[in-house]
Amino acid sequence: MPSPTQPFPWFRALVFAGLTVAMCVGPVNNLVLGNPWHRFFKPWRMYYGFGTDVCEVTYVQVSPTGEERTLDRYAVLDVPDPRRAPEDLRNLPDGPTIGRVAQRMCDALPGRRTAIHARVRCAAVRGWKPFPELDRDLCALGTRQLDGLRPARGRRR
Amino acid sequence: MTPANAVKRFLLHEGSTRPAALIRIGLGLLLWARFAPDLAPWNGNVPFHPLLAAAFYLGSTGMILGLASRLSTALAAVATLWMVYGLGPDEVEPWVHHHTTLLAHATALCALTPNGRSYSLDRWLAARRDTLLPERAPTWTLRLIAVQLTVLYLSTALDKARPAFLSGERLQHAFHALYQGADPVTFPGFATLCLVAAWVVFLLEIALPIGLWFRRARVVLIPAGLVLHALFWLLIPVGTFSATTVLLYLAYCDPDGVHRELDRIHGSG
Repeated sequence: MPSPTQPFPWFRALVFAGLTVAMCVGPVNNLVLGNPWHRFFKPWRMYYGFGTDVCEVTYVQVSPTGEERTLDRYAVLDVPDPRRAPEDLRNLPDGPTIGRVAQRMCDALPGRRTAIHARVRCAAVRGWKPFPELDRDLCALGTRQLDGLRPARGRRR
Repeated sequence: MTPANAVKRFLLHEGSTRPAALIRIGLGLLLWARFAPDLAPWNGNVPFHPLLAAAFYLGSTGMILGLASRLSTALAAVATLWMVYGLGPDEVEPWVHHHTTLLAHATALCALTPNGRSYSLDRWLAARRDTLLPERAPTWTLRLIAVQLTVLYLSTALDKARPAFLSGERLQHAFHALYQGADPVTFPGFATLCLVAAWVVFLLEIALPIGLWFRRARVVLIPAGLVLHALFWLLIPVGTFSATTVLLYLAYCDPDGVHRELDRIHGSG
């Protein structure tokens, strides 16, 4: 217990308070006031955009009579081990990639071509974002149409 | 007790220097684990800065050995702060991540603590000169490390206080990015599991920065924090973040209590 006669440690108090305030500047500036991230004052916002470059995709083959069958893209494209699949087949981050994989499956499937649709939702900072534009016959799309399929994109940090 | 007297007591309080020494040694090892390969001259992936490398290796080695302990810690702090805030944003993007920033901040704050009086070459050399360094010193600088961790936890909790995270969807995204790829998850209850996990993480990140200041709460919260950070380390790429955070829990503990438990382990208590 400090002695009552000891003077108040002003230097320590100033240093302690000053450093505490300095530690709080970044979080308050960005998280509370909504100002942009500053190089010297970080807000401890971690993994904010992590995982926003993924989409959850279900490929569905639709027959002319309207019957639907879920497709396993690895089986259709003859990839025995999904864990060893190429990155652009395993992770489908955007519309063009999803569309191109669909077209590869169109070419790989035997018999008369039927429509392949993709039921998609993509990750975004604000949660899952449905991508209804891909729920159509992707096999019938041309290259320009494929490239024009806009994904839900987020920042990675 | 008046608030002014409480602050005075807090700032003048003295206690064991062993927690500060353990933090010094742990941070030195973590600095090596994270930065030493980056700064080696054989690493062609990172621009080589001889002065920076010399400061880092001298400082971090001195921290681990406890040789000119505070000066070594200060030297390592200058080097890592320059990496995180100077070179990192312009040259080496991996140096500006949160785990490296925490390492740099913790090292800088550790340099303010009397970390050389225990578990150090400084202590051993003094003993050889028949001068015993007292293992007691003011603890206010050690508490600054606890303040940094408190600010970090509260900030990250505040950042998570939004529907996308608390619904569990952001954890679902992370699972897809790291493990599942584009395939839908068919595991029953997956969405519910992510929802529960999101709330557990959020509530812990509020409870930890407040509860760790109190002895009785630490009995529950330190193990909870250890489990939380162990799971982070196992399931997501956090670098040295988990290890750094749990090491810095020492800054919340009663230094004399830590001293007594170490005496018990040593067999000298």
